[in-house]
Amino acid sequence: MREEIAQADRKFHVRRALAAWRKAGLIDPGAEAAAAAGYADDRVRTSRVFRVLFCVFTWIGIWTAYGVGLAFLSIGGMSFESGISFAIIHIVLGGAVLTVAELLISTRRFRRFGIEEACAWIGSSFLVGGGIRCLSQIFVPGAPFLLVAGAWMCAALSALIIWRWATPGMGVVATSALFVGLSQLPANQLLIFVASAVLAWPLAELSVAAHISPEVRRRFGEAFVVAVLALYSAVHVEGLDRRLFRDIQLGSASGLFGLSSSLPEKSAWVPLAFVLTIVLPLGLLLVGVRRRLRAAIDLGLLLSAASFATIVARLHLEPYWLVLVVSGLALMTFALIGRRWLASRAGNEWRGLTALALVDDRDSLGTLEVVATLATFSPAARDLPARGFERGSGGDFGGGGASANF
Amino acid sequence: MLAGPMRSPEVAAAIPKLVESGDLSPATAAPLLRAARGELLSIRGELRAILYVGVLALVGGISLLIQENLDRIGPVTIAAGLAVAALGCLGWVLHRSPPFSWKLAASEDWSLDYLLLLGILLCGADLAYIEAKFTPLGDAWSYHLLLMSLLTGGLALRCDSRTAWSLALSTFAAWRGVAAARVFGELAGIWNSPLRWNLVACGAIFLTVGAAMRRFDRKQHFEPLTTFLGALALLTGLGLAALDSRGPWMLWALAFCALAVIIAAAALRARRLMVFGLGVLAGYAGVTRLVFELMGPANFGCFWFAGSSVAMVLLLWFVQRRFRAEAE
Repeated sequence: MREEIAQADRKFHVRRALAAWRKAGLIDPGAEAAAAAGYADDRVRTSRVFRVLFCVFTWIGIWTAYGVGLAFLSIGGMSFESGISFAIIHIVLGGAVLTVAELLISTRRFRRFGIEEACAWIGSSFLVGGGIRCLSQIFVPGAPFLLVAGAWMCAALSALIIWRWATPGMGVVATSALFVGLSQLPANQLLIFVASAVLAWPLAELSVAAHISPEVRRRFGEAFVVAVLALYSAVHVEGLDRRLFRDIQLGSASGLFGLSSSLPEKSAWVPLAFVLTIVLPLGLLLVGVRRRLRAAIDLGLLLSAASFATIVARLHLEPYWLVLVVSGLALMTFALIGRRWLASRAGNEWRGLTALALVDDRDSLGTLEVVATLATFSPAARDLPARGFERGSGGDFGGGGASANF
Repeated sequence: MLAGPMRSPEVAAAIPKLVESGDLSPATAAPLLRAARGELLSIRGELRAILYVGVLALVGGISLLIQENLDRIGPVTIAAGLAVAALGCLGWVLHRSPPFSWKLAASEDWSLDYLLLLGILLCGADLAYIEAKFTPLGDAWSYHLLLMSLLTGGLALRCDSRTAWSLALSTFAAWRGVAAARVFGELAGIWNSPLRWNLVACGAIFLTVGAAMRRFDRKQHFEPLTTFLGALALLTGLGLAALDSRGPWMLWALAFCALAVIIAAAALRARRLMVFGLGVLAGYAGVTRLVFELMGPANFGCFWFAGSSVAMVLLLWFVQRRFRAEAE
């Protein structure tokens, strides 16, 4: 990433903090304006809603222009039966769209604007698609080879995009593609376990490193999340028990390049995997709390819930209503006591953790809560009166009566 | 309330300079600096999420208990048990809540929000169970949803809970037979005229309530949510009518486009960007519907989307420059 872009991102971070403090009433608008003057941001930015709209319409525009272009080429006599020409079109198109992204970012100074982000995503997908098509035409390899090559091509291109522009989501794409590629190699479970275990901690450190620009830090944060999920899936007892990693291989059991698969024998490793399924989320939680890493804490909580569900299913803990009631009460008690305990300590904190609110996460949290409430707790709608019902191509409406499904 | 940005070395480097220039007082700056350095982290969101999941699991467990042990426990015991639990929760919340105010009066104790939610859910489950088992409302059975909606709305206003208010609105919509699954059913070709008009009615009511909140300065902080849900319901209802080609679809499509434009313009004026986005997408969908029906999609689709999306980008570019949308 060019230094001027990194600098602009750093200044933007400060300006955003100033705006959050102003909204919280900590500083007045005059003080905000005076302070912001020292952090002038020369990039063209917009609000979140406009960014999404720009992204959506750019996406629609490029894909349909692609369709129009292919139609014209076809009318002009170009045959797509030759896979190479089709691949070259995609590579050229991908390169052109990525060039547009570069121009928008460097010349027009777009940043988090939606248009240049959509261009980066679409350009990279054209390029990867064209590359895979090209490989399939030149080498005529099998599906596993194409998947590995395509995934790693995607990982490399995404890494390049992160290095150059730090486009949102590319951290997820790069890391996921890396693991997809590994999933087709012999001893895939072991490889994914080792790779994710080696990568997770450095990625977590990079996601908060001061010498890295804010947007690149976020991409490392995304990559950290994917690496931890890959690690968890590699040690999860159900994955081992059901031989999930063998089943996701497209090739024969002997693996890619004719090397023998060295999957561990099921029975020998199951107890260890069971222990790791429990220990890994707790360890992550512990590290998150000690280092005050929100991503590690949140992942630790989510994976703990997944591990608990696994334990309930494997050990056949029944009746389920009792499990739900006890776990619900335990969670509620934990949250309520945790809040009171933190509030009772000096400075309302323990080891740098507090239950007090930070200004900049209140709005998004409130919105999330409302969406979750509407999605999970809204009652079932009553059936509408039969009169006036019309039937199209299917469905089964009608009738009445209160629902007792609460 | 502790205020500060998320962990950010840039902000940590900027704060001493802001204190030096007098833009930030040292007392205000101290906790901000610790948060920016990563020395202080708020886990309020995580604790709230745990409490939320706890409520979800508890309500799910109780529902399962009733379903599996209906005969063994007996209907009266179930109804009474649920009522006691609901009253206990609601009584506790009402006792601990700050006094009622039409202004923002949220309690510092955020756990009350979830206990209120639990109380409302238990109360709803109890009402539904009593109605299903003892049928006190007879043919007017569906009114238990209206009753629940009014009760939830009242409690939301009393305890200043935006979450409970959203539940009150969705329960009201459920009383009118509105559900997301049914909207998707219509989109899949299962035409259901009453649903559309109920959506339109719900949308109009929500928008009116939102406007009244703003006009009379009553719980103004509930208004954005009410207005958004109202606009969504209204546009969905008219949009479904515009999609049904068996009726006067063109009339509805024109009305839909006009309404979308009005909503987008009004939202932009009021700086409600979420509603503006909704209006823009709805307007684009409405115009596309008209163009496709009139010109035929087979030969025209790609050209329309390619050209119209460029036009939309240009239009949005102009609008966001004109209204100087704050970068986020």
